[in-house]
Amino acid sequence: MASTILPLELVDRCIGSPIHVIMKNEREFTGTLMGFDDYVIDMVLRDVKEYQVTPGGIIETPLGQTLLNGNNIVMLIPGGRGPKAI
Amino acid sequence: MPYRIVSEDGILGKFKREMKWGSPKGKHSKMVTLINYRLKVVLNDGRSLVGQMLAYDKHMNFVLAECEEFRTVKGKKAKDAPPNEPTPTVQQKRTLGLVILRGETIVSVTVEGPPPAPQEDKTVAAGPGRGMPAGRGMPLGAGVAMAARPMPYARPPPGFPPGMPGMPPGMPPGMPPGFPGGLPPGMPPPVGMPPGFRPPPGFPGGPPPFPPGQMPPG
Repeated sequence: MASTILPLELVDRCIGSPIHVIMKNEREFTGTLMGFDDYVIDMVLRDVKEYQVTPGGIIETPLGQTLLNGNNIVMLIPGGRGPKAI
Repeated sequence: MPYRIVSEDGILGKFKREMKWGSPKGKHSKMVTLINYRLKVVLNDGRSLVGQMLAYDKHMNFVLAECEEFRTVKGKKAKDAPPNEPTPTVQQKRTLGLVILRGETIVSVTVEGPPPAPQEDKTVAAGPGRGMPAGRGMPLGAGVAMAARPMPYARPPPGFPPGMPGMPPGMPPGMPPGFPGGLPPGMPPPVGMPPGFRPPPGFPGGPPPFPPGQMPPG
């Protein structure tokens, strides 16, 4: 049985909607997905907020439009509003 | 003998049979058998994820539903603790929901549980009731009849000022609106019987059951 929808197809359906990106380190991003490539899932996000998750708390940094290198991405959460909403 | 052989083809063979794994001829034949299973995925940054695997691809990217993330974070050592004491670890759990996982970071995948049972038992059994559309006014099929405007918004007949509702049908012409009983203005109502009152049949002296000037039907 082939899987009904591939992971990258799901990412494609997330274009234009908010997404929560978790990196290999303790860094996370939220923003509106504008586009991605299907090689290493480099992504372009709009209205980005960067979160640095430290034991002392979450440091939030607003960024504008951002190109995110896919080499350090671990997880994508469609519709995710960030670590504070979880 | 220090070790006990579980079965003839060893522990792995027993495990394969329990998992109903087919012979691994195809490229993804093992992964197909794991679809919809609840998996525990260990990542190379110390995280582990538990979720139902809905999809995968050739990069081993996963789509995990109802995903939970577990992280072991180093806690702070007490100041008076001996130096050789290991630092306490705190396990943090987050519920992430639907997750797309990059296959590059996956270290190992283990089965946490079987596919969740389809939730058929949660639906209520069909009762004797019958579903049918409900609404006010005309049914939906009466679009043709609704092409004409309903009566209160119809144009009043000529002779009435604009904005006045039309007279109901059957009204004699020339009667001013507001006096359906035909009484001139300023006239008191007839005494004796309240309007609309009718004595029981056979009661003498009562007014005729129909107002004068109108014949009973039939």
